[in-house]
Amino acid sequence: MLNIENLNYRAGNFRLKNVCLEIAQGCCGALLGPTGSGKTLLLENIIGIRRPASGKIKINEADVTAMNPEQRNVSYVPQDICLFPHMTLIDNILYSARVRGVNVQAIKQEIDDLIDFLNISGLLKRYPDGLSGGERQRAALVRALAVKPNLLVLDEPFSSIDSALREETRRLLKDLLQKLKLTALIVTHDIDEAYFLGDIISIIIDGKIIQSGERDEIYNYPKKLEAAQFLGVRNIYDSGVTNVFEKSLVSSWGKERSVTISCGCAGSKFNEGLKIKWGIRPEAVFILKPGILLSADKKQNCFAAVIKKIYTRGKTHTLLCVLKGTDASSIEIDIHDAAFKKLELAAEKAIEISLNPDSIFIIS
Amino acid sequence: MDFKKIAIASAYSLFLFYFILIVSLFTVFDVSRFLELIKSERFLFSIKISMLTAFITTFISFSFALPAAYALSRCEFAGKRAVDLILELPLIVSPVALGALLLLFFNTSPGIFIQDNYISFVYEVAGIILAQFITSVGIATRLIKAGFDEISPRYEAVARTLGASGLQAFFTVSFPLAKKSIIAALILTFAKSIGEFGATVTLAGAMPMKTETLPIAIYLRLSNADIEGAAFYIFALLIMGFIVTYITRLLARTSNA
Repeated sequence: MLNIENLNYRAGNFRLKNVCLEIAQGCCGALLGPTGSGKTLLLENIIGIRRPASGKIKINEADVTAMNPEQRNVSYVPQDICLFPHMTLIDNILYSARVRGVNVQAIKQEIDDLIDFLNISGLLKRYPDGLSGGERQRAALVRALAVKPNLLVLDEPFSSIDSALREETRRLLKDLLQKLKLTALIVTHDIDEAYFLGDIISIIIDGKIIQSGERDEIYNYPKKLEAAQFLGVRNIYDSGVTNVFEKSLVSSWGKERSVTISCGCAGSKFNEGLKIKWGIRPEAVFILKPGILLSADKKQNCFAAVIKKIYTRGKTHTLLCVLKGTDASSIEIDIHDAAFKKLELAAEKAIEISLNPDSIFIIS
Repeated sequence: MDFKKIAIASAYSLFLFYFILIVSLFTVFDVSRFLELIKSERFLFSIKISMLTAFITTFISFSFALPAAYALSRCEFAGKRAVDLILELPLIVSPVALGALLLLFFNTSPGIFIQDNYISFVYEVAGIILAQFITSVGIATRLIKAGFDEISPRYEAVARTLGASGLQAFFTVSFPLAKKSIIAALILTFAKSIGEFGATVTLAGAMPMKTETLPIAIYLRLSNADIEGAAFYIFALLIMGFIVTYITRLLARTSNA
């Protein structure tokens, strides 16, 4: 397992600030953040090529903060893969065993299993230069895992792979991590990648981990504005609490509307008049079929709107809508092509939208 | 005329310039003198002293340049910019001035102490080596540093995480990857040492059969108006230069393969 306690590090004007991170044994953590957020710097502290100014890094309960990289037993696959270009793949794979003085014959079976699993047995005598991004990535994984690391660290692992091969390699990595029950940390700016591979996701922005939690928690309930924005929540509103109930609250939306928001312990956490921000994902906004009759409880979060612009990306359409009323509040809706066609949506068309109270989250 | 044609014409004109210079050598070339000089003890001494001092200088320069280049490329340390700047000295200061600097140093108390108690440089063979060293080590360091700069430091980081110590990572990863620059630096140091004149003549003097390297032999022949002799030595120096260049290219090709 990996445990980072209050790690601080300074590089020029940039700082990692009180970073805390925990990945349980056998789990895969995804460190998600935009470019320049300090992901790679944190990773370099974990592998030991940088030393933190303060804080602790523990791997399998052992404090490794002051240890050299070679003493930590942490394998690292960098963004540019870095297979040694002057060695064949098999020499790359056996590098670790050779420099550690491990008898290659003793670990041969395990290495052969990895080579077979990652399907590179036909490439072993080749040099990295002539290989595809996917082949190099698989070879780098075998090299990293050849001597059973306590922690596997991957920095943007799929950035050098064609999109066609990316999904296949992602699945291969996920299967491999599950097979070996290995503790791993994947550093990425790709939200899909983090959701796909990470059991635990930590969002790092400007050198600070602003939220850490399980996949669903991070997806459904981003707690900070920066996290919500980074995770693609485009509908975020400033509002005030107008009514508080035991398990929900009512909040204003612009000057003329109010929305009901479900939250487990609303009564104990919120007061009337409290200023909050709430958000809803574009894909969580429903467009009601014209003429549909809704029961009274389902009508509570229904609003009339007009589609102003439509952007199409493959089989998904993004609708920019303005709500009916004098305050011109707007909302973005992502809708699949089939539903888009069925509802015969077009610019300037009037629609009715519904916000599920369970899909709305409050940003602290 | 388009730019490419102008560029090609420039390349040809440079070739022509040097070619004419080399051809002009043969206008004073005397075959009987050539045969006489090639067997002379003085010529053999010049070849021997030039090769010996160049080899020793290359070895010493490499011993300093390799770790220094690595430090400048990979490490952050106090005064790094000053070190980097001072290595440009051989590029911006003429070799005669560098030789004069050495001569002045050996007239100071620490210089006299070194000369009296350890090793004598002024007008000695050791002076040739020191003069060659001071004019070539900076360039060698720069060349090797450029080689290390081209290699991502992440290779070493990966090697370290795979269990290699700092030294193992250097010798198994960075060193072989920078091989081309290192070979180029070695050969350039050797070639520069063979051809070094200004600093050598200032510090070690121009003494026949003592500090008479090939360039000093040319200087001495010209001083005595022995044009055919000078041409012979220039020819010898050219042959050595071409051999060194050929070996450099051969090694570069091998390391690329």
